[in-house]
Amino acid sequence: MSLARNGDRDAFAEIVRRRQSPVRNLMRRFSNDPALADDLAQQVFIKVWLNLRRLRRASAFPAWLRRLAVNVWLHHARRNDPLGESREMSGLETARQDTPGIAMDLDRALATLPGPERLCVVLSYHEGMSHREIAQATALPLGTVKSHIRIGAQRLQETLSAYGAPDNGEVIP
Amino acid sequence: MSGSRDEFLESAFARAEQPLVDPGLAETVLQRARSRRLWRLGLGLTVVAALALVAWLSLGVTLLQFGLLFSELVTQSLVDLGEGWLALLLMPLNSVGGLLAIMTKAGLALRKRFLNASFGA
Repeated sequence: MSLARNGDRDAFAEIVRRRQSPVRNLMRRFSNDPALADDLAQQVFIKVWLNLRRLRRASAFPAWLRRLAVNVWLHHARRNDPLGESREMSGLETARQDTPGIAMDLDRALATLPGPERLCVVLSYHEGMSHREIAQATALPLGTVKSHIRIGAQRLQETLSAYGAPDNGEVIP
Repeated sequence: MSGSRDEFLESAFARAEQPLVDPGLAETVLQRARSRRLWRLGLGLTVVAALALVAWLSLGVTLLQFGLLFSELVTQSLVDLGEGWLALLLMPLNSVGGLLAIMTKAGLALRKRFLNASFGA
C-alpha cells in the first residue's frame, strides 16, 4: 500500500488485481449493466490512483474504497437522473446474457427497484453496511434508509421468488 | 445497528458474487488517469490564460498607473541633495524605497534575534 501511495505502478496494479472483483460486482448490482459497471469501476480505481496519497492509514483502505465506489455510483446516478426517485430501470431489458444464473436474476430483480431503494438494499446486503453507515454514505435520513431496505427487500424477495429456479439449475431456497 | 437481514436475500447476494478479474484493468486505469491529468492541466492553463487576459483587459491600465505611482513614491528623495553626483551616489539610501528596505531588513533581523533568544531560553 505504501509503495502504491508513492506512485509505484506495480503495487497499484496489485491493488487493482485484488480489489477489482468486489468493486465490479458492487457496480453490477447497482447498475445492472456490466459495461457500465466496468466503466464505473475504472473511475473508482482512477480516483484511488489519484488520491491514494491522502490516505493516511492502510487499514482504512477497504472502507475508503467502498466510500469512493458509492460516491462514484451516486454521482453517476444523480447526473443521469436528476429527479432521483423518478426512474426505475427496465431490468428485463437491461440484463445481459453474459451474467450467469443467480447473478442475472438478482440484477434483474434489483433493476425493478427505484434507485434509492436499490442503493440501500445493495449497500445493506452486498456490502453488509449498517443502517447508520448507509445513512451517512448516502446522506439519506436514517428512517428513510430503514424504510427503503424493508420495502426494497420485500419487493426483491417477491421478484426473486417469482423467478423460481435460475438458469444454472440452482434453486434459491 | 444493521437491522435483521433476510437470509434468503443474503444467500442470493452471496451466491451472485462472481470472481471478476481483468488483468488489463490496472493498465487501462493508469492510462485513463494520465489522460485525465493532461486534460485537467490543459483546462487549468486555458482558464489561467483566460483569467489573465480578462484581468489585463479590465485592470491593465489601472495596474500600470498604480505601478507608476508606486515607482515614483519609492524613488522619492528623503533629503533634497540636488542633482549632483552625491545625490546619485546616495539615492539607494536617500529614498522612500531605501528606507522601506532598511526597515524591512532591520525588522527581520530583530525578529530572528528574538526568536533565537526565545528558543535558546
